[in-house]
Amino acid sequence: MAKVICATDHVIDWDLVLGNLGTGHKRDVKAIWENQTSLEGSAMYKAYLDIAKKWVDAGYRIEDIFWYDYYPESDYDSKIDKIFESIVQADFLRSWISRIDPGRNAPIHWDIDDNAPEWKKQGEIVRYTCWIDKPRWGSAFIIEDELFYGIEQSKVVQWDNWDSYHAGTVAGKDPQFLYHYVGLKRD
Amino acid sequence: MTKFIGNCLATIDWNTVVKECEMSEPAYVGPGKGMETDLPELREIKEIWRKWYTRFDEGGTVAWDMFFPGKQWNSEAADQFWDFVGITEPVAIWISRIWPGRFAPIHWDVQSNEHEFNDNYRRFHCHITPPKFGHFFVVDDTAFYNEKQGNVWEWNSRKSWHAGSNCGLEPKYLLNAFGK
Repeated sequence: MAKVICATDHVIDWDLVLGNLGTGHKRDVKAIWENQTSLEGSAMYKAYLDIAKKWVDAGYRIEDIFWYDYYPESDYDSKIDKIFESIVQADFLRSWISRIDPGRNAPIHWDIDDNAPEWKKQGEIVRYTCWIDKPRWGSAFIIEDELFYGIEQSKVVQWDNWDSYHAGTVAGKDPQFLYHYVGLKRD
Repeated sequence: MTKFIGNCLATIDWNTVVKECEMSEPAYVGPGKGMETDLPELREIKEIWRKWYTRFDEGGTVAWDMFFPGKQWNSEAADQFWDFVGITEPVAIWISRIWPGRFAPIHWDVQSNEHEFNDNYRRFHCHITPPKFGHFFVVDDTAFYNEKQGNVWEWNSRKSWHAGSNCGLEPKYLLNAFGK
């Protein structure tokens, strides 16, 4: 089971990170769905479409599905990744901050990454999520069978499998911000 | 605090009730007309919703289906539920259904005749299907996930703030009731 393993408040001022976030990138599923040819070069093309098809078949209105991602360098200081790397002792592969607004879901999915086949050749991929905002009423994050709710700011959850099915939902009045880190396990 | 009452699956056939709902048209899709009224108790809810939420039929994600005993599902099950929780003066009982991608956002259940209810009324919910991925429900500070089918919870107050959402792949059914 995914579990809380540590806190980061002693080394990262997450309020400062949130206060200085860049503009980020809207992950607009409708745009992707309507422009499927843009994915044809992706090794994971079929995986992308499989997930989107499940959503549509379940009754999601595709234009309702969007969230925002923020990336190191452009939206936050990449020093965060270095600090996090030293905490979790996993060599950095990628990171991002996600934002889900009230009334929105990041529905059940796994994080497809075109680089994963190459990463797997280098070692075991590990995944962590950090709750970078204060607990917000109605903000939930689900990893496989486990709900994470009311998690204290700065707490880090280690996933069992980097590619686990997960989802986020916000039924309250504040957006949900999470920092995600993918790395290679150190021996 | 929200309080666990027990599991009623041995005495109430929720699978049949859910099938009855599945085969019926909902009585209506919430939020109902009541949200359009000028009740003072609704002001705070409306203020929160105004910023973030829009009804599904107006292009947003707010929608839940409503089912009532004697209409869309059998009233025997409702009677059995009242017996289970020890309510002798039932006021309201209904099943809500939230489709994947939709929300019953933060709110409390404002009644059009609020002044008729004192603090003696008890509020319950029951998880009437087996747990499904992405079925999220929260009452006050208690979040519910992976609850066993038939689990019954009593709320701290009829006026408790609550919300439900569905980020999975199957519709979410929940029984709601209050009385004294």
